[in-house]
Amino acid sequence: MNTASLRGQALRIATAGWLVGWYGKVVFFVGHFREAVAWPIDVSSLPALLRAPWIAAAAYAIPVAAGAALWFGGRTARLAGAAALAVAAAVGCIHVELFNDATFVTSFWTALWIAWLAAAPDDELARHGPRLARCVVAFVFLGGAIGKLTATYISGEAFYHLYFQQKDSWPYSTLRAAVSDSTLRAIARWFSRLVIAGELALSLGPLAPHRPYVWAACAAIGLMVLSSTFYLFSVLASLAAVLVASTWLTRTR
Amino acid sequence: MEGGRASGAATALYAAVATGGLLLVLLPLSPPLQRRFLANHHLDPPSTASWIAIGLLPKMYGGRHEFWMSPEPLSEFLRADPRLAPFKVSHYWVNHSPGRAVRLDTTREAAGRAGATTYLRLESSYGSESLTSTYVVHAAAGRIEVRAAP
Repeated sequence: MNTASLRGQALRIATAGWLVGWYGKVVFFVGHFREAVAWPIDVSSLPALLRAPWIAAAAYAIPVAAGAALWFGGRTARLAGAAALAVAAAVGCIHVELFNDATFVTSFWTALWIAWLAAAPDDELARHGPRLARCVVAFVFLGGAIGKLTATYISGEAFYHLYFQQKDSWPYSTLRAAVSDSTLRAIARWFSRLVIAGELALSLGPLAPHRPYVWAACAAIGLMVLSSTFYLFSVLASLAAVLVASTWLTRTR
Repeated sequence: MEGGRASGAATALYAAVATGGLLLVLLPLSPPLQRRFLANHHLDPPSTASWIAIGLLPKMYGGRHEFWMSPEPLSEFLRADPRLAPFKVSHYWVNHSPGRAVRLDTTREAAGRAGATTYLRLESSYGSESLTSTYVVHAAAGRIEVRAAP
């Protein structure tokens, strides 16, 4: 298979996974934008553009066209499409209506990898694609791990409240009914420490061999979605997608 | 074989990830950086540039974040035990960005129609730093007005 064909396939894998994550909560966001337009937020700490509901809605919609350009377009269209993904995700990271959703942070950094893939010279795809993908994914997990290096997470208190007390989904509701509060706190403590250890391990991606890292990261992503909420899939889908797409590039070797 | 000469695009992405990674690694060691992160979580950045730079960094499920919503201001005394409050107090832990509470997400339309006023208290901490913010969120004239409260 020639390099141009492999690049096209890798771009489609990465873009498809990116879009699945981005639009995984489309029903929620359509309702959210409807309320935002009806009742816009007026907060003085952010500039007007970062409060305007139409900016948030436009940023959310743009990846449809950008994805089409990446899927069907030539080099220039792909570059423009990748840049549009990155800009849309950047807006998501900083707009008052969207900023708290980690989907936009992971989408921003994975869009940068897609932009690299659209722009890179042929001879670089296999030499730098897999490592760059691991760097991006490791960086995201590093952010999660560093944030949890606090007494609140190491003791398990944060997850005790966030998951074991506040979540009504399985298995948390079942656990609450089945075990004592002290047992629940002990489970939360070890759950939290396991998450921290896992994220720290995944943040070593640049040093790891590629295929084992991809398997480990995808397994961890699956476990995180199962243990949290399906909505977490929207945050993590783009990470899995760039890892798979980068593995595809190794076929050029 | 990985490695070898990198193009400008690859170099730029390596540099962006390395710079972001360095900021993340410095976070537990730097109280000023911790204060900037906490300010972002509370929707109260010192500047738009700071809001953008920190907004792009991965920081999910990090630090301690709680918020309280009530129809009357929540004093320190009542915050210690909201059950004593003679009004309804909603209290939540959140994984990050408790500043999202100013949007009244689940009650925004109802609050808007009723012209309701909501008092918010946000508490976050990371490392040696902590931040408490209070906001008054008032629905009026087709907008949700958010004001910092003393």
